[in-house]
Amino acid sequence: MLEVFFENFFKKAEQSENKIIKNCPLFSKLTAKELSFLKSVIHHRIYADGETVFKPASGTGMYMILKGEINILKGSPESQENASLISVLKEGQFFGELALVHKGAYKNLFAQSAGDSKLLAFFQPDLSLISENYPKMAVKILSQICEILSYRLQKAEQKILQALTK
Amino acid sequence: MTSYIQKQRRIKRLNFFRLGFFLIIFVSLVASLFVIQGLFITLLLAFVLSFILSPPVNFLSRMGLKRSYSVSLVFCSFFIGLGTFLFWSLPFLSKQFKNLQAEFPNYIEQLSILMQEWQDRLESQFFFLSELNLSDRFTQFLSSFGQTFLQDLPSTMAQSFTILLLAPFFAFYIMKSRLGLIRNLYPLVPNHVFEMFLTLHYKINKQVGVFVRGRILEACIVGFIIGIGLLILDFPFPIVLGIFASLTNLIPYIGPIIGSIPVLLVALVNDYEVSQILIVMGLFFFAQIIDSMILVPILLARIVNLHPLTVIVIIIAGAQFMGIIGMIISIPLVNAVKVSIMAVYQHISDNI
Repeated sequence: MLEVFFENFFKKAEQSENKIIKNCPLFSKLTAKELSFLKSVIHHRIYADGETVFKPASGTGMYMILKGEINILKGSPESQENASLISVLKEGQFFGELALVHKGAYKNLFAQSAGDSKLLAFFQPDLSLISENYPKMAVKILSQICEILSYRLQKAEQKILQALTK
Repeated sequence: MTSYIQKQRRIKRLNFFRLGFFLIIFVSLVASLFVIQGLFITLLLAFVLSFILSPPVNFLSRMGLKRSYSVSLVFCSFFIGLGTFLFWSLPFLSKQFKNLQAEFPNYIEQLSILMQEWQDRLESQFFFLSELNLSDRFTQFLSSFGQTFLQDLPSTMAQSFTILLLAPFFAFYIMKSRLGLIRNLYPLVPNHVFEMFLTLHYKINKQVGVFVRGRILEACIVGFIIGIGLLILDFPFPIVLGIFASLTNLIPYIGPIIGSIPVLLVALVNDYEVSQILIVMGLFFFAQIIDSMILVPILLARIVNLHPLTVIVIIIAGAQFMGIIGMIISIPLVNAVKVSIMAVYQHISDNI
């Protein structure tokens, strides 16, 4: 009885992990085989309440939230007064994808765990490892990052145009 | 407000204990390498083997073969190839070794005669040399060294049998895990140093891999050139001398000189003419030129360079601790340490 319960429980946890990885736009083009390799590369990290996930202008990785919530703040993690909340990310969301191609891409932002949280982490060395072993897979991931970048650039251009025409 | 500070303090304490715990485990693992006899050499050999064999394994698994199958395939073909090579060349090799062993006293005798001649000639011009009694000392040293070296060779071979047997096992599992054994430690690394640890591990792994593969390929090519050259020149014991030269070529700067000494001695004893000795030395010179002009720039250009003086000090230290093996492995080890120190320094200066 107990065994069945645990089995299901773990299966469910793994399913949600698979779903989160699959739903992340970075990895949406990967085949099942590539996803299974990605799963062996990705790290499981556990963060305590209030622990900093990455500091401003440092960090080389992207994170997907498996459990818990992450606050994205502006300022510095040393003191609460200088920090202002930008957004709260929930289960299944991801952040830090720009740091994969540009170390310390977030100059003024930092991430902090709100409550205990479990994250799936993927860093620059992991991407290099993939590009050495499975170049096609790395190209797929990088092209997705490019798409995200161009989408953001487009948004920024729209905003600038709006501001200029006003 | 206070709760935020308290929270941060708690996390700092937590990180401190996590880091301490991780360091204790890491240091005790490293210490066990040195405490358990033979483990260090076994693991080192296994790592070298895995560094050599990982490119074909990666290639096969990139082509779509399952990791465990590609590791098995590469392992089997490597050892079958090595086995057939040894089977084919062992009688030949052992004959050369036996000849060398049998003729060694003869060589010593002839050398001492040669030395005596030289000494007489020298002493007739520089009288003060007679007091030093050079030839006696030299032959004594040479005969004792040669005897012990040749006598100990089989027993050291037998001692290293377990190492040779265990190393492939270790290498198999290192390669099968694809991402390496150290990755099993990742969950223990605390969050605030995790990225540094990961980056360091990746960089060191890459640098050491390039270094080991480059070094071994370089030594093989140099040994091959010398062996073939000696074979063409119809010099005695070409293969043994070629293998010796390739092994000593692993030691930077001093190695090639050590490698050419036995050839010089054999040439002197066999009454080779000066022109013939010059040709043989020319062969060594040629191999070194190929090595430093072509092989090193291609194979080892990306490696962190150590100052020549540092290299020599490291080689001396390595020889003091572990003999010839120490001379060969100390440079890659120090290179790995240097890469790690540079990466840690970079990380610290980036984060201040």
